[in-house]
Amino acid sequence: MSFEMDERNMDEQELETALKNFRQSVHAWSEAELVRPRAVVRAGFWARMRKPIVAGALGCVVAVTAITVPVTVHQRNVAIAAHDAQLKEQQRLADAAAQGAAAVNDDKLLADVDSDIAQATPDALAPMASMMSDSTGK
Amino acid sequence: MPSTWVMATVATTLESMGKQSMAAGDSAEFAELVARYRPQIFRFLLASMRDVDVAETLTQDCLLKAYRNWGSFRGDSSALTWLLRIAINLQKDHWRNRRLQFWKKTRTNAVDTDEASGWLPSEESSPEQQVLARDQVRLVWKAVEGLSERQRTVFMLRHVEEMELGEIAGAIGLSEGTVKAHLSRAMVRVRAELGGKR
Repeated sequence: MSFEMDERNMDEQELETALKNFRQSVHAWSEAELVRPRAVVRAGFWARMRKPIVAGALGCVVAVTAITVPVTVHQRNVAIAAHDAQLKEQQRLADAAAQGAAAVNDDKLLADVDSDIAQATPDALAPMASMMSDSTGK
Repeated sequence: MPSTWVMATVATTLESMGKQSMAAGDSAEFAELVARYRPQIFRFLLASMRDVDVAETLTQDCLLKAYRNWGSFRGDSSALTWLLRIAINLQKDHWRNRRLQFWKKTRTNAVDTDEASGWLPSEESSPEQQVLARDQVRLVWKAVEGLSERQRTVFMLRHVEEMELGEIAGAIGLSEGTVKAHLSRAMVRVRAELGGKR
């Protein structure tokens, strides 16, 4: 009985000591933290990225970029292709017009030559020509 | 803690709030209250949270809230009990927010029990006694870690702040009997942890 009581008293004493040590430890820690000088540290890049708002904004930027860049590139390619097609069409029409104009010019030239030949009468044939015009006048 | 620093902190807080309504006498009285109880509030929060940054933030929040409600403090309980009640409510809110925001994987600066038990008063004890004390402190921290939030609060107020059961009941807002029951369960755990090492 006495042995059990002694053991119990020893346990209680040990508990008291442990609680006292715990209390003193917490007090020492708290006092040390209270007097410790605080350094203001500027948050690094990744620390800032960890903030939900910043991460969300960055995610939005990435998502918008991922969508808009391919769409813009595609639209630009389509516009370039259309422009090229338009240039080709214009070139083709210009070529056709040039060919048509050249053909007209050839015909006109031949007509002019015929007319010139017809109207330019040599001196030796002048009397005959005048007779022809007289007979025509009649 | 130099009292001038505390006064400066209070003055800065008042200025930042832009309040000039508090009478000069009240302001001085409140500054005195802060100077006297700030270390105790910080210590309680540090022991409860094991996180220096959180303890500092909550201490500041507690004092700010106390300042805002200083006019409504009727003196039914002691100023310390009133401040501790505010601190306990802020602590509860903090845990609740953390639980709700678990998915955010918020980084915690809480120190582990081994690190916390490294703090010992520099008394004239032998190296063997220091090792023994460190081991005991570590085991108590380990037991505290397994306590419920309320049991831990009661345990800290009783064995770190050395408050009477009636004061603890006033601070937590529970009956003295309930506080006794919580403390008893906490002590069973501490005893088991200390007894288990043998």
